[in-house]
Amino acid sequence: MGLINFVIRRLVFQIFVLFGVLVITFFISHVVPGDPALLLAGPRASPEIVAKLRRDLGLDQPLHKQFVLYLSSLAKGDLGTSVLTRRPVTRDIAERFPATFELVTFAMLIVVLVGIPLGVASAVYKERWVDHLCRVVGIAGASTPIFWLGLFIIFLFYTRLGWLPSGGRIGTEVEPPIKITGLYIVDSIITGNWGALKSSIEHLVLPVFVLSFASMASILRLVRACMLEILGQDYIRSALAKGLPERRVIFVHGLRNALLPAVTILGVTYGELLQGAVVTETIFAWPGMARYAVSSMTYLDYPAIMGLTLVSAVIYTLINLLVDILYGVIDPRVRYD
Amino acid sequence: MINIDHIKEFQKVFLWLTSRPLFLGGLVVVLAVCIIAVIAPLIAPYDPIKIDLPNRLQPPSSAHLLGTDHLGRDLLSRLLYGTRVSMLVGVIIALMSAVVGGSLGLVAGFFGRMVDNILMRLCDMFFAFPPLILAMAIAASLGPSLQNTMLALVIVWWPRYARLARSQVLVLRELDYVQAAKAAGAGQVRIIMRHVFPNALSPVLIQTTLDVGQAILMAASLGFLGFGAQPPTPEWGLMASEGRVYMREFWWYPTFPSLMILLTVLGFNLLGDGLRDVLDPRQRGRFIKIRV
Amino acid sequence: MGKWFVWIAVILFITGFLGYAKPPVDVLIFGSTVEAETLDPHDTVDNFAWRAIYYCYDRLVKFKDGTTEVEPSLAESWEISENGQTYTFHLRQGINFIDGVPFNAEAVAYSFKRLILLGRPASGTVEGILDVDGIEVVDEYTIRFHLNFPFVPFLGSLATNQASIVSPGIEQYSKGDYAAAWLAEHSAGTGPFYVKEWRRGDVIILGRNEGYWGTKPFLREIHIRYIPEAAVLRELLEKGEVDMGEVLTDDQLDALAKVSGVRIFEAPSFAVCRLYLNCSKPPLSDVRVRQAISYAIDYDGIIYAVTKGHAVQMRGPIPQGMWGHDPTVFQYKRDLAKARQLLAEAGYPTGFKINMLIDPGIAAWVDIATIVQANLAEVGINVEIVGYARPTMRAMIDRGEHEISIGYWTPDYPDPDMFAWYWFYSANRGLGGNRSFYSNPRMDELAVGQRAEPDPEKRLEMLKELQKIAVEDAVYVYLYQSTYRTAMREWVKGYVYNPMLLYMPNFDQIYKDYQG
Repeated sequence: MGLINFVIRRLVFQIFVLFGVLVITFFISHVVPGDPALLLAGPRASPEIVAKLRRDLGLDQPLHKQFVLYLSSLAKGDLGTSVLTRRPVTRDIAERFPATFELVTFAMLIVVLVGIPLGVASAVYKERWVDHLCRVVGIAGASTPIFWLGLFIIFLFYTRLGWLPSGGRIGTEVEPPIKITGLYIVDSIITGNWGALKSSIEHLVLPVFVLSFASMASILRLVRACMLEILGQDYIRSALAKGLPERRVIFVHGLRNALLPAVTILGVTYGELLQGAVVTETIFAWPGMARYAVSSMTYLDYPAIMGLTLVSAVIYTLINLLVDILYGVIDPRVRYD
Repeated sequence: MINIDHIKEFQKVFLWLTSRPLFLGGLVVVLAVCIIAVIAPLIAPYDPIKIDLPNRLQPPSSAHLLGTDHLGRDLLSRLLYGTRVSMLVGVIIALMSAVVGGSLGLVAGFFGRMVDNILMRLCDMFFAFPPLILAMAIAASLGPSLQNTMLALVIVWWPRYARLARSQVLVLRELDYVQAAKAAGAGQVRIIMRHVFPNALSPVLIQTTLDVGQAILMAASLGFLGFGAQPPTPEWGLMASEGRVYMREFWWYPTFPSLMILLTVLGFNLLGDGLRDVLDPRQRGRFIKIRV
Repeated sequence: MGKWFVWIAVILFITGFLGYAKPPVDVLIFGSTVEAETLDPHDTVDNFAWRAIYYCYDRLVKFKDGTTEVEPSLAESWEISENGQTYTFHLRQGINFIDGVPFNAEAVAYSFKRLILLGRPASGTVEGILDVDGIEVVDEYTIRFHLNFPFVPFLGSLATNQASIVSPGIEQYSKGDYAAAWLAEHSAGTGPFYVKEWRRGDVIILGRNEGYWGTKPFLREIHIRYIPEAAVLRELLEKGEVDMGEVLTDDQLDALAKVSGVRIFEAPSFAVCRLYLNCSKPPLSDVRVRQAISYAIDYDGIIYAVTKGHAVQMRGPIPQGMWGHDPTVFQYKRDLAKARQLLAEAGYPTGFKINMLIDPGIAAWVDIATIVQANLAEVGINVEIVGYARPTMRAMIDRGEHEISIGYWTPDYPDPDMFAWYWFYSANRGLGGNRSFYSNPRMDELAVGQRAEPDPEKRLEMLKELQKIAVEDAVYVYLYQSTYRTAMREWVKGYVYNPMLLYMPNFDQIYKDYQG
């Protein structure tokens, strides 16, 4: 009972937060000292054309009216029409979302699958060179500017070695798999399209590597810290004294308990990855949402900026909600906060 | 006069430092960067914004130790001056966020109830945004410039410090000696300043150190995307961005600024990590709850 | 341990299957660092969008091969009235649009009405020249245009992308917007290609129109891939993964020229770069100040550093190679002494402070601004570079808030009117074209007069005088006229350059030959 209550309360609360997000977003994109009607109108447009565009976009209304209009269309699931592409923002985002999702999720997988073992190794061999190496690698990842790393990796693996492609999600000679989820890897497996699968994986390797490398540090550090704490505990020592094999003790008893709090950092990491995607998608010509964010902001496409900020805030909120719920599950004390 | 006690002290410190190589490394790098930032005008061989068109894109040579950029400006000088820019940016952002957020958090934690509630809701609203996206949106709206980028990042980061400070206060508030001080009739402000504040400081300090590095990295990323420092400012992210099309033939042009970013951020990260180990090893558990 | 083996196996699997297969010889892969925003020909004035659109449609006339002359396309013949105000076109018969709707005068009328009524930037081409009630359907295959005045370059303007003939069949998709939303991502023309698929942010795929009325193109498919990072596009071109690529920097193109298998094409173009000097704001309102600035600029240095020598300094406002250009008009050269003298005469012996507004997203503009800043500093003028995102910058220019600013300009139709009228007519102040907010009654007379003057001799005289005043009054700083450069693999053949079709290669004639 306590848990359900807790979840509902968190949900309601997050909705309230989202409203605040809407206000903030709207405010930001309208403080702009520019005029999107003018941008759209092009170099040789007459004042009449510009005025008409301004009316079309609803920009001639007072601010509060625009906000109300925005809210009511939001209720209908309409995020407005992009000033640049003239299409509904919802469609623009929906088209690009799977690409970003695929990139970020696979990067997440790598971060977890590589970060956790490294964190364990770091803890087990504490203060020895393995530990130092892992920590430095992790921290180096967190300190590297992604833009340079991406370009360098392309230069190394594509230009010099020719091992892996750069740019795009799939090779030009291959048809993308039939769209079921929008994730090329998943769709090609489902439809048995092995050519597309191979090409998609090839194109995924470099961007995923670059993206995950930058976010390795947090998980590594956390797993290490938790493992250290647990390994220092009495019950571990007694298990070892009893003669249980060291490996079993570390993995079964130690790691399992360390993983629980590690789960909570997944939210943070996913957020970091989403942001790293902004630069990664630009460098690797990945047709995702994050890069669309850059072009929308560069061209002050209000509806797109607001839509994107809102969508990413929603995603973040969902992640935080999940993290909160996980906390509630793990630590019952939190439910009565 | 130096006597044996001084030497013993020095030995102790020396051993202590060398037993923590990462912390030492971070400290050295940060100090070096700070020193460079201060003496840059003295050691830079050229004016960082002086153009010299006939000498564009020169490789590293005795005349230009790190080569020149596409307008003939000396890269070494630009890198050195860029240190000032980045340090300024990083420190201001981290400090301002810490001060603004920290004070608000202190207040919230101490006075509780309404104030706490409102503040925490506000924090949550800002937490809902991915920092980079929000920073981009703000920088785009107000106009791309270094100042606006700094403003944007402070707006995005202050909530973390508020949370941090608040949770510290909540714990400390209940401690015996604070209760005792209250019972003895000490004023609120006095209690805050003398008891709560100093103890809340250490996690904030650690976070600030780490954040200087993160701020530099973020500002560089924003500069790279076009939302941060504007030309001809010698900012590392902007330099890497201007140089990125020259990666093939003139690799030094985007690489050296990127390496400077890497080194500097690395230094701050190591230092912050080391501080965390040093100041309060048990505190590690606390950081888990920090939100995105 | 087992885990590591799995990883190694995966990596081997991936790397083991390398090797990039060349696309089929009838599929062209084109890499672009700029993405189109919309494919509606009656909407956009962006050359990069035109690249995808142009060959999906036909127009009444077309440019003859690589020249700026027009020849029949959808119109077989035409007559122009004595007073130059009425154009009658006789249309080709037996053609269908890609959606099956027959091509006839009604379709042409629909197209032009749509262009005007939609009111998007593209309609600027006919603004004030042709109105809806000036369009007359004479019979099924004859259409007549009654212009508001005898606009001399009208025929040339009919070959532009904006004058594309669109099928009336799109109305079924209309939501009260003349089907604008639908046409933004589809095509509905009579052209040799059509829009097969558009994966946003990724690639536009054009397919061959198998029922095309003219010569069928060799290419079956064209993939226009969006590669935002120029450094990456360069790699793709060098590896042969793309067949043609734009826009690359001059440094990159110079490097690519040395790569075997890659060919760089260059030719003079009418694309120009100029600085705007806001004549409505002191001290720029003083002609001597503007002249001083014109003398202080290091034109050669800019051309060297920014275009690597692939440009020529402008000589007056009308580009060289275009009819009407006066090769004898004065050209400013760097002369610091003269500049200082003029400044002193104008009352600014110690110089002054001034802004230069740019869009920092365009690397060339940043560089030019930096160089200009250094140049003007030498005569005491302190330039502060102010950067704003493009929409903001354009809004500011439209309101005349700038002092110095910068812009590129390419003519849509091959006529000096594109410069003379747009740049100097006082009513065009702002984004319309007169970005120096220049106002001179004599210039107005000339600018408006020349576009309606049917006698070429007289027109030439007017243009000559216009150019003289334009340079003497230093209305703009006429920086350079670019050489158009583009890169392609050597197996791409049949490319023909047309100065009116910048960034729009002739897809209808290009073919690939892997052997030759």
